[in-house]
Amino acid sequence: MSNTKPTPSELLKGVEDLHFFFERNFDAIIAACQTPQQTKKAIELHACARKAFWKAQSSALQDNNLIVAEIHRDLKATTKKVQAARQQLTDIEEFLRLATEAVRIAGAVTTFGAAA
Amino acid sequence: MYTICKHQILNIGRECDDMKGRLVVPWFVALIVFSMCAVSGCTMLDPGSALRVAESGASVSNATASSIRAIRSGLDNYVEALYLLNPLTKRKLPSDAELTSIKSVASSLTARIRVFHELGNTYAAFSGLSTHDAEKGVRSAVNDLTTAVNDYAKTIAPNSDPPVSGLVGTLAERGSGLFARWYQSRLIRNSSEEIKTRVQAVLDVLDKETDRYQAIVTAQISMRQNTAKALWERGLACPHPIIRQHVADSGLEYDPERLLAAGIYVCSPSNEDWKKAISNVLDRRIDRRAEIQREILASNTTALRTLVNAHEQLEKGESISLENVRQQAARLRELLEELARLRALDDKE
Repeated sequence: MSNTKPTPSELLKGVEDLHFFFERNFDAIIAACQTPQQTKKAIELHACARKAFWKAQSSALQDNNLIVAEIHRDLKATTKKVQAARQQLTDIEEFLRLATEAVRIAGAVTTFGAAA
Repeated sequence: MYTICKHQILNIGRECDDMKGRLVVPWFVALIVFSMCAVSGCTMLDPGSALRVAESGASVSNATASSIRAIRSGLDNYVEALYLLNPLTKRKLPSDAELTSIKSVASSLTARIRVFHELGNTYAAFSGLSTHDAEKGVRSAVNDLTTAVNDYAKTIAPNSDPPVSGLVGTLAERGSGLFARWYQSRLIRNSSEEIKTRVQAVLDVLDKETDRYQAIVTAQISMRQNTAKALWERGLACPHPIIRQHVADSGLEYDPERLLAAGIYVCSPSNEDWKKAISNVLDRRIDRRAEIQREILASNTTALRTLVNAHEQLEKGESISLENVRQQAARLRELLEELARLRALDDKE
């Protein structure tokens, strides 16, 4: 007998396989039961396997929930950065327009100054 | 960068004063561009390539969000089916603990959908950065500035030649265009690097979780199969659409009412062969749907991986081949259409 411990992924797979086995063969298992006790037991086992399956899925996804939340926050910040980058391009144009206006005004002031 | 640019441009006025209007704008612009390029060893990035990456990224993000959303919404049907099957098949009702786990899975999936939705937003912003015609905008503003400088010079020495001549003006256009392109290229590269890191992080999570999604999908599909069979076996669902589909275009006519009048009850699986025949078709459709879902999940990760490569190529200034992404997107579309067709068949049934 092997002493190797199953990995978390193998354990999960085992829980899934058990649930799918019960689900796929439920009608056949119930039909094979000969006493009400056996039927009750089979129904209980099916329900327990299903419950374990959902518990396992929930825990596995929760393990990554913090990472997912962090990625989401990160992505929101990245979206803002990229939007700001585009704004920077517009800002240069805006700045040059303002500079143009400033030079025009400087020109006008000089003209008035010369005329005075 | 913006600050340097601002100070340098402000210096134009001072140089203008010092040189009595003998200002040469393009040297200044060209100097910034070439010195910065020399220092950073930059390659000009093609905004068109960046746009293609942005479009592919948006498409992959939306497709992945859709496929996870389909799994998420399938959970509601799953829980409903548990209640439906309880009195019909003796399966137990879900316990509170089981419902809590399913709810927690649903909320985890919603968090993943939000991530892909946000990734889509990021690519939309990236697309805006790529389509922005920085060169045109900056060139036009610098040309205005050139005119203003010439006008200003005229007020000082009305009879002298314009300090920024036509030839120099052309150079100014080139210089400003080059500057704008360099600046935009730099912003695209920085943004691409930021996005790529996040796509890789998303991919790492998706890689780890693909088996989980697959298991959840299998549970949902198997529940649909059991529900359909339970309803059919109790005469509560009719296989009319299945038969109609196979009779169509053959020249044969399928008329359930005439069959009923003749005492043939198509909806009731009283005959074992008939029961088996319809069960086979249901199994086949369910298997096909599971297969499609598996392919969709695999396509999502492949497309994201290709996207990371496309970002790397873009940042190096290499020509980008998005053929793989396009193929994946086309395949995804096909799969989603087939899935929608199968769902439509189910709804009819």
